[in-house]
Amino acid sequence: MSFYQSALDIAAESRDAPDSIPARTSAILSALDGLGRRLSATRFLDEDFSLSQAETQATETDRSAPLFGVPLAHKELYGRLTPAGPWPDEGGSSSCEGQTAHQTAFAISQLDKAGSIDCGRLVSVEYALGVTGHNEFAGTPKNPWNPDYICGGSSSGSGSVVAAGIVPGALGSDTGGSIRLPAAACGLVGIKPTYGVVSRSGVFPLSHSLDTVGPLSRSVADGAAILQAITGFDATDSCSLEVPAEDYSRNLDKGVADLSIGLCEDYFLTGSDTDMADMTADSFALCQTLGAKGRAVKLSNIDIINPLNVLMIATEAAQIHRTVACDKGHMLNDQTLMRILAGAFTTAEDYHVLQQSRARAIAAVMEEVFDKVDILMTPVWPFALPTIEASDVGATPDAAPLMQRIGHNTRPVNFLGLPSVCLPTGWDKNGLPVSVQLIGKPYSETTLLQAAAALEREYRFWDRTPDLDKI
Amino acid sequence: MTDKIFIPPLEMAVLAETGIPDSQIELARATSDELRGILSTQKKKPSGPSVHELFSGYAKQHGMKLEISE
Repeated sequence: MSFYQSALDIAAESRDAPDSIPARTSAILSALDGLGRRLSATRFLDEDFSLSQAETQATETDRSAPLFGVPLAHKELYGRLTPAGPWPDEGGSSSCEGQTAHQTAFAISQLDKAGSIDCGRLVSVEYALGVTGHNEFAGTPKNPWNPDYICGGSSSGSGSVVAAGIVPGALGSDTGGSIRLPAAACGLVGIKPTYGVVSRSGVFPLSHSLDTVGPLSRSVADGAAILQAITGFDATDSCSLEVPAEDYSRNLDKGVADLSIGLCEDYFLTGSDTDMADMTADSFALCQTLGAKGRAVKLSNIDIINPLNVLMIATEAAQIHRTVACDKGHMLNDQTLMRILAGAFTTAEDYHVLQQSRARAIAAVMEEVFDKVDILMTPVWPFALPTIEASDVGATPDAAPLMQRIGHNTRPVNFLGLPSVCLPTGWDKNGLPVSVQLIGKPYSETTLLQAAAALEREYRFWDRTPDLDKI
Repeated sequence: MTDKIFIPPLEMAVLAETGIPDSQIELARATSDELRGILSTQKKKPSGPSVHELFSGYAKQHGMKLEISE
């Protein structure tokens, strides 16, 4: 088996030679058990189940499923029921040790229908409540590009395993940047869909209003194919919306000449270190060279959105997890506990104002930005990636400001409910990947993927692979 | 979420009985105060449609655009 095959290539190969599916699945399970564990990224494997899925696919006469025979592994927040019993559903926390899934997540069922093989679960930050990737209980995943550095969080295991080429894609979840931060840290494509596009049913919750689920992948085309598979209305998720079906891959070859792209100097560039801002400006200039119309845009009140998103997450996390926090607080990481408790003081009036503020901010960004441009381009990480050691701040007074700063460019997107795609464009001063974020108006995933594919062809980041001998 | 019942804030006395160290409770309280202080600037502003209503509307508009483009 060769690492770093794309999902679409694997699907094509599986259609030509379905007998290859069990062998490939077996090799990937071995890699997840070996390299995946050395990266502290693999959380749970069920060889019997994964191989039985592979055997079933190998005998399938209809091979038209879009992800036919494609092995994927996902963040540990995704529930799975199997004939032999449910998979663990511990939310990356010792406080939930022994807890099992009560349903197969909607997105996982969708991937089953699309022909994918489920190869297990990957480490998440405890309760998905952290942006650095640290997890004292489940392990802190290492970045394959340099194992001294973080993968970002909270979908840290997903970032690590996909960057190591073991699987071509993995689902993550994103409440303040938890798909995009690890995707960017690991040199991957990360997709955070629009509010309501992908159901969260069966996914360990953090914030009902802000949780979104989406893929991390090595290429834009793979990300589009996985996103395509997991979308669909689900009446069991009250935020799910009936959105017209469309082909997210249909414009991947179209280029950016018909698009207008905005750059918001205030907040996104001024709030990021100079090298991150400069690299984003370079990507903006590249889009113009490729024919896109470039335009400077301004966003009023953007500076309060990040802290309001932090408060929304804390408030809803406290609503969901307060009993555990009070009864088993000693089993939670200090930082998780502090962030949940910070939401436990929010009053009903505060929460009402928070929801109203969110709606006003969404209406404002539509008028100020998306009446003028198709896409807003920003950095993802506001500064060069830190090491695992340097970013291990626990619950010290330094923690809250660091968490807010890391999510500076990503959290506003969750608060605004907008879709966003990030993709790698270069390297920071320490040789770790740097990415840009493309933000669009609601339901503009096809347009964002169109622009991302155009940039991907220029940067050809996926031609490069980390040196895994160091791991 | 419109279908979730809001649970009132925790009383300090209740928290004190949980065994969570005072220093952690104080840090969480200070973080909450800071964030709710920022939120207080948003009070008494006019309200409009909810987030879900906004996105339902955007979804309909998007569907109409897709139909036209086809």
